Amino acid sequence: MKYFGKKSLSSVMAAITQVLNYVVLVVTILSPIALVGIIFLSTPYGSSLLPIAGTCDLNALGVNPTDAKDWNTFRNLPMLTKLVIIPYFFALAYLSLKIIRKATILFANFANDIVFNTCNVGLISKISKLTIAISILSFSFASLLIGIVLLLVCELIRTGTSLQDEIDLTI
Amino acid sequence: MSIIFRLDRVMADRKTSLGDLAKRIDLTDSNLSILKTGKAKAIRINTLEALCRELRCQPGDLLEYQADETDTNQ
Repeated sequence: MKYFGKKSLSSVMAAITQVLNYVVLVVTILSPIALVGIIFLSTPYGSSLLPIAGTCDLNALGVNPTDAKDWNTFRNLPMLTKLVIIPYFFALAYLSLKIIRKATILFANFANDIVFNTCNVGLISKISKLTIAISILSFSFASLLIGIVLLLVCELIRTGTSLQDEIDLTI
Repeated sequence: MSIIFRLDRVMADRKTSLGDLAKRIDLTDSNLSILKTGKAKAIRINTLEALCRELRCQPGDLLEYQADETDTNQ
């Protein structure tokens, strides 16, 4: 399998991340409406408008028991806690969009056979820092590990870049 | 850097152009320009050999060591 250059894994990944960028952008634009709707339905007033939302026995309606339990927990949260979800979601969406955009540029560089380059070092470094930020926000240990591994990869690319410079300037 | 490449001086002495010399030693113009301007980090032995052969000189004519201020202070 080809990893770098035209018609390689990198070019496929560049196309996927480009599509993913638009998907996340659309979700980010549409989700505040959905979030406001969900928060509204969780209030007593919203439950009176849509009785299903206020029903404690969602299991009888065929809803997954875990989802029903989560929904009841969410309904019982204070209003302020519910409202915190919106900026929290936006912070996650913003970080995800930044990671996806940088990954698109990185894969496009790889697809053009630009591997050991200072620009790529900067991109990987930023992606790793953003991944660590996401891991802290979402309490995800897996993301934290990915972030740390990316930092190591960044150092490898940095060393590779200096070696490449030396080779390029050896006449 | 302490090592200075005196290719421009030797080329001027021999009245050789960059393009002509590049062709004779089988190098690209840009690579020879990197050597001439002192941006090169290293030089291969066979490149040095080709330069000496075509310019009829010794490696010492092409390379010159100039001590840095930090070196002279030590």
